[in-house]
Amino acid sequence: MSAGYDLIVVGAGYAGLMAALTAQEAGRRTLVIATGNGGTHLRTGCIDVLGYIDGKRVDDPVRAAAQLASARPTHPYATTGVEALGVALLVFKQAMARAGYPFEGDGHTALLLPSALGAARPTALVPRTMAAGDLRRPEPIVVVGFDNFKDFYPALIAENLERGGHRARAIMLTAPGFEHEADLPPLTLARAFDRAPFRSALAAQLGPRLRSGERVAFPAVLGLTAALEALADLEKRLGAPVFEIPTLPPSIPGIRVFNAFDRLLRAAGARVQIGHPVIGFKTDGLRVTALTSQTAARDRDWACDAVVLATGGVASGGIVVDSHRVAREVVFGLPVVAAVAPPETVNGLSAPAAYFERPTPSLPGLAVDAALRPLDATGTAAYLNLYAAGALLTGAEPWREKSSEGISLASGWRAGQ
Amino acid sequence: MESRTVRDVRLTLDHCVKCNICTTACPVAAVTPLFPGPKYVGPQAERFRLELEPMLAPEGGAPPSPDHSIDYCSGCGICSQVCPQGVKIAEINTRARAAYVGGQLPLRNQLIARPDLLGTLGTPFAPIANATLASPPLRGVIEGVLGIHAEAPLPPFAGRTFQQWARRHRRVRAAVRSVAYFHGCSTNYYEPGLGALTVQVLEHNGCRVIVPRDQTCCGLPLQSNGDFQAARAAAQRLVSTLLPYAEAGYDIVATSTSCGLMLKREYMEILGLAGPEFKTVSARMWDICEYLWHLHEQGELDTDFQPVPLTVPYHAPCQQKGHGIGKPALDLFGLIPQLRVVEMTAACCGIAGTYGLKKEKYQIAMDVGAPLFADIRAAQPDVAACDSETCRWQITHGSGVRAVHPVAVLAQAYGIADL
Ligand SMILES: Cc1cc2nc3c(=O)[nH]c(=O)nc-3n(C[C@H](O)[C@H](O)[C@H](O)COP(=O)(O)OP(=O)(O)OC[C@H]3O[C@@H](n4cnc5c(N)ncnc54)[C@H](O)[C@@H]3O)c2cc1C
Ligand code: SF4
Ligand code: SF4
Repeated sequence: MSAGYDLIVVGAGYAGLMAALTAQEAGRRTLVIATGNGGTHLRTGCIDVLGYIDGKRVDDPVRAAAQLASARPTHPYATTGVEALGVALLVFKQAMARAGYPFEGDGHTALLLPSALGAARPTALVPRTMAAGDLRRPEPIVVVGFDNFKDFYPALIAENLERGGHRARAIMLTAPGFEHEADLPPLTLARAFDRAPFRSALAAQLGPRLRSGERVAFPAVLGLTAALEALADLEKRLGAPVFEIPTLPPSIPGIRVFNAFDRLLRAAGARVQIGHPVIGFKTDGLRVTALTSQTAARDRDWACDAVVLATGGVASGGIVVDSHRVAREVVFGLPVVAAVAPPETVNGLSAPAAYFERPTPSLPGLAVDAALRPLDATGTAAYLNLYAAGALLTGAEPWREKSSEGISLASGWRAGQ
Repeated sequence: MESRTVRDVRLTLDHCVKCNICTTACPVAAVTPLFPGPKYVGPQAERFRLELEPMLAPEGGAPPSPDHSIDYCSGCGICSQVCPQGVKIAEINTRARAAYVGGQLPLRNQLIARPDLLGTLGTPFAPIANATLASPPLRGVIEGVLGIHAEAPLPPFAGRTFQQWARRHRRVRAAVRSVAYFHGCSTNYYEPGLGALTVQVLEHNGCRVIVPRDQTCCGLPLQSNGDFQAARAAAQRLVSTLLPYAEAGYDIVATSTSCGLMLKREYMEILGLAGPEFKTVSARMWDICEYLWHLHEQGELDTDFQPVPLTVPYHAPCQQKGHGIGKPALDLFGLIPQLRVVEMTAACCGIAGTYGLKKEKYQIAMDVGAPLFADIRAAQPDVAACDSETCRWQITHGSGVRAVHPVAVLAQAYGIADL
């Protein structure tokens, strides 16, 4: 047996995890190496595919992605192909189901879920714990919050839901057993929801205040390891449909997704190594032969046959922008396109609002060929066995399109092939 | 003045984006409200420590800590590993605790922080000392007087040291390379058998193993209990013992993964020791499994393993992960026919060196380790494997499953000794 890996995936966000699972389950020896945790821990834990085209909400995310891909050949969906998106969503759903954290939705219907502010947020796949929140359902919503959990404001959510034409009201409770805690972290609450006695104490307080026909929204902290059990148990005790609304990061639903990937990867024999950035690489001129990371005593090379780069965009440190607004991809020094244009200034200060409203698309990112290989300055694949995936790709406006996870999963799946 | 490395560690706090990913991963914050979590006591509080320093620091003394919960950080280092922005949270915490303790260790912490002293005292009286440690009523007295929890896993003294074994040992195989073996206190006084297996596994692979005499404690327990002055003295002593070997070009292998990490990095990053001798020794340090896998990568490991038809859950201890070397134990296990290895995903066993021995922290440590103990039992194992000694003792204590160093599994596969 050789001592190297068939594939090294750099990055442990949705894109990297998907690429690694795809490769490992196809029998390739895979190593995931990442500086730290990625977007799973920061985002909603839902799979957005495409929410809007040119500001208009779409009804069928996968079909709309196909339209977008043909209208904009530089969009990541054009590169991955929409078939890859469809397969990736299916593979993701099956993987999460196997890991005991099932998702609902088929990618062809836009699901409409309440956001942390009570706005309607379009998405494509949702964990079962959020499914009953679909705003196209008729039942009125009771938003339940805890006065000792400050990152979730039920009254504000209910008011905004009402404003959006949905019947809603708010109930504020004190998380039982934590009466002396003023400010609970979400994970503490999630772990409490894992325990039956907490749920029963909570249901005893809440049950009498519910009206028949209502559904109950909680902040997305309904259990870390036993979320499905917590959901079923609460629905039984309350006699009403229950669902979660995403809160501020860290995202408990996203952590569940990360943990599910992590378990599947390890069970399939992949290595997951978090905590150590890749700082360099070795090449024979045509191919990447090894990646270098810093160990406690010396730099170490990890030999590999192929590399998937999924280090995220500017937000995750995969691309850094210096004070002269020159963008740089950190591991391979690949050329970055659509670099940040000088923003409009207001009173000498840059105006973030102006930046986000600019008509020019795209965050800084990498241009890739049809096989997802990043291009060098001459416009050809920089290395024959180097692939890129996720937020690192140029050509999308994920925050405006609501397409982040779809792009990550589709490109991750393709790159892991 | 603080060294460049220490200043760099400290300044990583400016990279914190307050995402709280570290808090979600902290095993201590998960089980006790006494500890708010790494973001709060690390980068967040450190800002105040920096601010307060010039105003409030007593003449030449340490700045006060704004947050006494720092004492509940176990130092496991998981937060630093998961932080996506590279904030060295655990390192910041360890230094802040030293400032908080201000060198004033209670008697208990002074004792448990000196394994070499305990070993020297305990070894000649092993039968009496072990009977004392095994006696619940006496342990109750120790808990009352000293604050070492009566149920905490304290290993028995072996009664003879590894150094005594090494002095008598005669090599039988020809050697193609020489390595020095840093065995650490626990191998010397508590697990000399592990040292013997290590020497034989290395010899089996063509190494001449030199065991430097007078190996003193690396100072880790002193460092994590907050006595940096004594820890630095221990570091100086040990490094001067190992330096001649490093200078002569010997690789130095360690079986105690946390002590090896001290020599590789923490002397410089946490204790702020800047002398060139620390770099020289660091560059030569190898964790034993890292070294053996390195031999394999060079095509120089004997891979003629006998089948080991056992089920072995493997737990990579937090400090092992801190090496950044991957999981070479798992890689090596992958070469052994019929061995069924189950990689554990639970983060931490809870013990964190001497943390879980303390009366006020014993239950926290057991709660931290509970998911790991459950997963180990669920694997229906023959024996568990783990690279760190205190973690092995905690695993055996918490799960009831005997835990061995990965080297012991290799030794069986080489036909050297059965598990
Ligand atoms: C604080 C924050 C808030 C955000 N909020 C939003 C939001 O509200 N809405 C929205 O649409 N998007 C948001 N984003 C962006 C969103 O997280 C990304 O678009 C998405 O996660 C991209 O997924 P990915 O798999 O491509 O990369 P990521 O999930 O970012 O993963 C990148 C991975 O690569 C690793 N990595 C980076 N450099 C290296 C290296 N040199 N060596 C090894 N590993 C490396 C990282 O540690 C990480 O594991 C936010 C990001 C941040 C940081
Ligand atoms: S994980 Fe890192 S960046 Fe995030 S809050 Fe913790 S220290 Fe700050
Ligand atoms: S070192 Fe461990 S116990 Fe301390 S804050 Fe970090 S994760 Fe928590």
